Amino acid sequence: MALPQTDRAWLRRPSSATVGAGTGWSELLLILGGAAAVLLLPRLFGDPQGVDPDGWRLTAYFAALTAATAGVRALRSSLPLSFAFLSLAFPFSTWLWLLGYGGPAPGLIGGPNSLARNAFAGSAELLVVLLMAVAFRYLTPAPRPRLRLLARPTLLMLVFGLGGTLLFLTVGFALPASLLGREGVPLFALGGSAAVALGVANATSAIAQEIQFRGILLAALERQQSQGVAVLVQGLIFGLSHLAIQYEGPAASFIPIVIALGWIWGWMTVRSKSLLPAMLVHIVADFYVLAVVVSGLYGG
Amino acid sequence: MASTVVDRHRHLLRCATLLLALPALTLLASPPVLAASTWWVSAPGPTRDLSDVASNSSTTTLGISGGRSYWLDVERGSLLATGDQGAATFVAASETRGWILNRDGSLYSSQLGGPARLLQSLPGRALGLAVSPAPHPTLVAVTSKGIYLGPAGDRLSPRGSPPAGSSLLALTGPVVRGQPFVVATTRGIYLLAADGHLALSRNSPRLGAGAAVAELGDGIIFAGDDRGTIYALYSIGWTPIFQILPQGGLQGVPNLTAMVGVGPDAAYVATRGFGTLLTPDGGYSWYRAAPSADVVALAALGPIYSRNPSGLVLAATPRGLFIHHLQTLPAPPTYAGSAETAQLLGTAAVTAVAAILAIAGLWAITRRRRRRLFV
Repeated sequence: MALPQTDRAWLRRPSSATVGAGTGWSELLLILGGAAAVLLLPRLFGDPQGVDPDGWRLTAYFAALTAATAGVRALRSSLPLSFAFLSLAFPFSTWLWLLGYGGPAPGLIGGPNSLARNAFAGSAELLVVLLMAVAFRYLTPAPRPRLRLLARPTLLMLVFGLGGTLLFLTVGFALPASLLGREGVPLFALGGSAAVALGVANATSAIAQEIQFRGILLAALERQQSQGVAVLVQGLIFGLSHLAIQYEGPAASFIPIVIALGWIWGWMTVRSKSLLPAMLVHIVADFYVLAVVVSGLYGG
Repeated sequence: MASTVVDRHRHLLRCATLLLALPALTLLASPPVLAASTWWVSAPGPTRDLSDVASNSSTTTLGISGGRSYWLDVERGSLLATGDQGAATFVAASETRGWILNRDGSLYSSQLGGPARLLQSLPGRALGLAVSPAPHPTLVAVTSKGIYLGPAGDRLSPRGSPPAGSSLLALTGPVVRGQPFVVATTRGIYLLAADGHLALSRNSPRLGAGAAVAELGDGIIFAGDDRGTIYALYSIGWTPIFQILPQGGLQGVPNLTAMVGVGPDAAYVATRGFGTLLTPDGGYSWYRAAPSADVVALAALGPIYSRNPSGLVLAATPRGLFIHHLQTLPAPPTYAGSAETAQLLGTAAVTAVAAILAIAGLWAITRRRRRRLFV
């Protein structure tokens, strides 16, 4: 028996692009406000990073929220967002810890700052992110989020990936040095920076960040906001989270550029329905930043 | 219908709040690049078009503005002309004495705040003037006819000349006693000892237009030119340490205009259009601190070669003199015992309270939403 039109509409599985659109502002602002307090209030009675690395602080905060939203049925609608933020903080803290920052590092592979240690930490971070992505997809309440991780390559993806890469490099090298904050390249440090930039560490970090921001976070936001707003918000959070590595550093002027890149990569991901183009451009962008810009700022 | 419009307005308002509030958080990070731009403060007094300033050990120094030399008190902003002795080209100063070299080779001396007195007339066109630190400073003047050297206050005597076919690009004096003068020529960089011995520094770079040199102490010398590469002489020899990048696709490398050492490991490099670069660690890392005009000359004043530097760095620009007060950079605090425990406990408490409040807030939001559904 054919159902009437209205009943069929009622039975239709809601897409994640429309579920709860515009209803999650309070949760989002509350969670972000708490994170800002965790990040900034300890500065009132201590130095920003000296004793306690802020990454673990944020990890503990988001882990508490995730545990509460997973354990209490009434709070479960906030689980995707809490888990998405945990998937940003925990892998980053793990990566820093394996590199030797933020507590005593395990002496597993290579010396501090060595290429082998970088590659090991980057691979471990990517593995943690992949595990969290799988957990996010299968443990969050229905409808299942769209991670766009296993999309079949299309011509549009190729155009976005290669075209975006070429456009990024053209704009990057044409921008005035003062706008980027770079002064120059210490020649003796350039070799080392390029080696790290070309290495596994750089690629794994870029791939991990795409899964974290354009995969998990964007999918979590799409459950509560319209797609456009979700792209805007994830771009803002992507840019601001870069304060974690540039905190008090000379590169804070990069943040608006990183926010803009977050928006562009978010748009590319939504349009191509895949993380692959943004991953490709992100890998090239990280290489450019590490080899050309960062070495000029910090002396390699 | 009305409630839908209100909801849409609310939605837009929240969206705008988030878009504005989150970028505002970036300001909390207080980037040092912005802080660095405030290092340079405009010197008090009338704005003058300065072309050269000289080092001294107090807050008063010699400077050239509009071809005339002046004693400048950089703290008070007062200027005292040294007299009308012609077109001044280079100045040098040590303690309370200063020297002025005119374009025609006339060498004058002046006591602090006093008029200039002709010491001698050197043959040729003036190319450079430098003095070693007190006490018993040595004065070196270079003209197109040769190098002249002698104890400051006495007549200078000729001590050879750069090799045939080369021309002088830059001259700088030592910052600590016992170190040589540095003479940069198109054939390489020469070291001139106080006894007049001139020797080519092995494997030194051949500089071109816009060359500048600076001594940092401990035998470290920086040199560079308009091509933007900065070289350093360490104990292992000369090595390129830094390449100033092009400002943009079409603008090219910013030209180098001056250098000055401000400590055993610290130096300033001035550029045209790109402000001033500072290295605090012998050329390993660089920071940009830009006065708002092109810097044509740099000089360091006061007790800069000490554990707690408290002197000044002067930057002469077409828009007047800028000052940077040297200071010891704050070191990260060190914690031990109870202080470390207290900070860790405080941080943990903030995290726990924030998490509890956030969970309570989520609970309240959920309850309110449920009530709306069932009303």
